[in-house]
Amino acid sequence: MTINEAPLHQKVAVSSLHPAERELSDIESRLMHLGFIEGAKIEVKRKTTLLNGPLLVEVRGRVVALSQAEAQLVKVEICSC
Amino acid sequence: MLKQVALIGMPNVGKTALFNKLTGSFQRVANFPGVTVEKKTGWISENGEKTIEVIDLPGLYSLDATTLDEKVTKDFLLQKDKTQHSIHFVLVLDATNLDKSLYLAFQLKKLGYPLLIALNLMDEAEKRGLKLDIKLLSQELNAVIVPTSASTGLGTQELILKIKDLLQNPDDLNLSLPQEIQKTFRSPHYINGIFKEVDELLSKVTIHPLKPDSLSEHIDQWVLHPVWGAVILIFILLLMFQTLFSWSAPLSDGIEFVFSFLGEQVSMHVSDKTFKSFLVDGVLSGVGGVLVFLPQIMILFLFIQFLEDIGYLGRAAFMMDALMRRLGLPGKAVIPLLSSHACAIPGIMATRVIDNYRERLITMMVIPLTTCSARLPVYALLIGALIPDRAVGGIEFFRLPGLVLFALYMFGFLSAMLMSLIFKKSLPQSSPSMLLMELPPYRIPKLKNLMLVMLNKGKIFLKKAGGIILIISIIIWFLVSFPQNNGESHIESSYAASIGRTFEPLFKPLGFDWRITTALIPSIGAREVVVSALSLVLSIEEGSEGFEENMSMALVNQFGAGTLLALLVWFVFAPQCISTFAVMRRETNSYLWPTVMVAYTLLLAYGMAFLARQFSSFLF
Repeated sequence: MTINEAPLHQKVAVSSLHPAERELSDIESRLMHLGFIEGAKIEVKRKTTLLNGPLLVEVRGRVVALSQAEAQLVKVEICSC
Repeated sequence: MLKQVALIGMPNVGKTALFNKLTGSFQRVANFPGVTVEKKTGWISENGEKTIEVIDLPGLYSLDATTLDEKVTKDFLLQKDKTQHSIHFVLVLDATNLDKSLYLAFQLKKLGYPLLIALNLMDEAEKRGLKLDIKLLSQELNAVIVPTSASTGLGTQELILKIKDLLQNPDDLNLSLPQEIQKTFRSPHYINGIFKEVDELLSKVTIHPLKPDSLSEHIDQWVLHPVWGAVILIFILLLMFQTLFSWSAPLSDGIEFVFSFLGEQVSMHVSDKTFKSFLVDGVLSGVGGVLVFLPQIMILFLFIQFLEDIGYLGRAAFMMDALMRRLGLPGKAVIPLLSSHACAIPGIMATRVIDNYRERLITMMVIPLTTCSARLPVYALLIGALIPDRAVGGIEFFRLPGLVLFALYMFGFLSAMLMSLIFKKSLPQSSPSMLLMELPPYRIPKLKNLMLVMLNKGKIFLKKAGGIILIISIIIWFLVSFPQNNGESHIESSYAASIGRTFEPLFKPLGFDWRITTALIPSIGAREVVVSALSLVLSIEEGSEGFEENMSMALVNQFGAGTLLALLVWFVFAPQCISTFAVMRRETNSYLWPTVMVAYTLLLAYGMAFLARQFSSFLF
């Protein structure tokens, strides 16, 4: 699943961000520099359901706002962390 | 040789606050990422002598710069900046978020840059329980580390000493970053590797970890709530506009009294009629007419700075993102749009944080529709003339003029949204820009910073009043007072009347006669001038005695409520001042877009003012 599909307040871990065979796009690069790297523990703090709005995600101790399109780039899996 | 040092670091780590502390400058600081979008310079002085030039650079998350502001800093590090003399820098880290800011430290260390680190926000980190082995951190990074707090001044003097040591280093760094190395900045393997090193280092040097910021989370439950968040936003804005009127009234009255007193003194002691008219009508009435709005402008800036310092703007961008995207703008556009309520020029510059050019262009194009502070005196004057001062819903604090002012600001903002939708449909499509933005923790604004911003903005307004507004007022006075016939001025046969009458037919459908037309022309230089221009035209016509008290009445008597409403609506949409045009030209590197901007706002202002005039009969 991608971050936007992750349950609210459930700790998840990043499983992958991009297909390995191509270069990172600007958005993927920024996501990684903000800490969305493989294995990173994250938590969805808030979802804006109205108008398919953005999400708030906690990663590496900081709160990051992501649009739906950005959130769909990050694949996550539920972890017991 | 010129000694030069730059401050670099991730966004919102307090670089500009530290820069201000080191140089005694007063650059704008706020609690959200991307406040600094271009480099700024100041000096470290000793015994009144400027010794070291300090450059404040925009924040960057990594050396893989993706936005325009980040590229300014990257160019500095790659020595592509033609004005730079050295490549020495202080890396500013946020002690409350080392997980984040150490990333850049490792990147720079790997490239061989000597590191002088200002571990900023140390006071806040310690309050939240952080204990670090700074000596070990320094050894591991092979860096000189100075714990600092830009707000309290902690470590500033020590940092200056370390900067001097750094600049003593005779090695002239000549670092080049070939394309192959720059490509690695974007490699997942490289990024993962650095984060691993950051984690390992932090586990070594952390004696006691930072307590989580639960307060921000609690506040966000309300502020970011889909319903309560909107209610809070509207309440804050309503409060702001009410306060603009109620708090400023005694101060404005005081300024009005001073100018009135000065006018009486001049009238009593100056015998030459023309010179008396020059002083009373040209200088005092022209400048005083605008200066009475100084308290309102200062209070407006106080509110905007408060919202910036507390960390609200990033939240506003988050809340508005979904809606804004449907209108062709990214959520981040909220920051330049809200900043433009102070002045459009920094607002246009702030669009540099938007990485997609199309969305940046749309944001710049609609910024003129947000109400800048220069329009406030015009609004206040016309609202005073048109709207009775009475309480709304029986609540004394909520007055009708404040509510109308709020409505005008909203009208401007909604028009900007509508125009962005039109631009979205008209301009070629491209992939949307990033929202990806870190939300800063809430911080209690420093009263000193708020006061300094307010006083500084007041000073700028005073300079404007003593500069361009005074010059234009004198020119208008000359135009309305000459030629004279037997030493008497006849406004109907003045130069101003000739100029105004030339353009009068164009504005006649709006109800604007030559007097308003004469006042509109100089407002291209500065909008506030329309107030002094109108006061000049009317005061000379009516005589200056007791004029200030009756300005509102004179406006209604002379022009009628319908025309004044059209004038008010004209100023909601009218093109920005000439300086905005110049900044727009610079930021788009073309004359086309600023010309389109002026053309569409002019057409919109004309059309809406015409409609307002036609429908005014239903209202008055």
